[in-house]
Amino acid sequence: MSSEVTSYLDEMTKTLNDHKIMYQLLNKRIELSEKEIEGLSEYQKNEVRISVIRTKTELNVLGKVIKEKENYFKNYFEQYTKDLEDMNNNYDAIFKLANTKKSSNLALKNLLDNANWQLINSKDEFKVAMYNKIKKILNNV
Amino acid sequence: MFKKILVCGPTANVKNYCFNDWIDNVLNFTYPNYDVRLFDNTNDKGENTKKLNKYVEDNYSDVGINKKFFCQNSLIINNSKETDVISKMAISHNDCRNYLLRNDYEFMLHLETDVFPEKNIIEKLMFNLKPIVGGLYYIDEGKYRSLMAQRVIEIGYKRGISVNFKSDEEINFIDGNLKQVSHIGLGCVLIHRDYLKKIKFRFAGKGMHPDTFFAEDCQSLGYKIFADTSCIAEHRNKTW
Repeated sequence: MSSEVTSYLDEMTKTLNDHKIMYQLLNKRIELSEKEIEGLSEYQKNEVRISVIRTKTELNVLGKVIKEKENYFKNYFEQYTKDLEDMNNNYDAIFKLANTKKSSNLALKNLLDNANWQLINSKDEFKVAMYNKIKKILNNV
Repeated sequence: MFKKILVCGPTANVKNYCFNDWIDNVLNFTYPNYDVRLFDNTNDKGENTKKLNKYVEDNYSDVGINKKFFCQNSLIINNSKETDVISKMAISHNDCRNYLLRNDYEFMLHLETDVFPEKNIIEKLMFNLKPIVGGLYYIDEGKYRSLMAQRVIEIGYKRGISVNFKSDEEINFIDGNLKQVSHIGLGCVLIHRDYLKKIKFRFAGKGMHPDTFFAEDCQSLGYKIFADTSCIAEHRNKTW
């Protein structure tokens, strides 16, 4: 499943993971700040307390962003799974039909003749995207 | 005394899939002094408008909050040559603006009917004491999904362009603080009436939305636009 062009699912997974790691690190910052405050000068203690307030604000908003992105990703993935199943069941029939109709449909001809099939066939996600495009054109014919 | 706020926006029957949830969220905002006014640009001789008003009447009159809400037809639509979505949106945005200016509201919370902010959104945005301040939400799909806000990057001597935030830049931008931006979506933005007196919502074809022109007009008048990065709203812009 390796490809030089990253898919959206891979990118989204990475972004979400980064956000979650950041969330843990910010929590850890608060924990460490509170644990190690003893023995610091008054100035340093003050700086640590400021940092804790700022960190809590960041945590609050990062939590909202993670929730929003997870929700979107869940919907996206559910839709993708449905589309993938549809493609697996109908791929051959749709492509056969598309190849028959391309001689009389310029949009279809351009799409099929100019596509980078090596890239498209390298990942199910790209294949599904192409399959959906073809289906959309065929539905409008 | 709490300043009077108009929560308003365009709507159409294509957004009915989330209207019930949207109105439930909006009518339960915690701010004590606001009204909700929608301008419906469905080209159906007012049928959808009636339907929305009836829904609110039927479901919220027992607790009395139905009185906060009224939906009216963007009357101009039915007679207008403007039929594309962007033109209709701009006309309804201006219906909102005109309604505010004819009445005694001090601020408009322009809120689109598929955007779901937190219930204390008005207090949170007001607390910033800025005449134009928006909450954040995402637009578009898949790889094109991005924050509905932009910042200026310098591309040469005295030249800058307004660009979207890349996904790896968001993590630094959204830190809960108030940030100046070059562009904010009209989907969730608080605007003071004095500023609305000077700026009309406009469109000019080419696929550019009124949000873009609003940002441009603010810039040319020297008005600063802010984003409250602690306000992240859900944008339910499709039914999946």
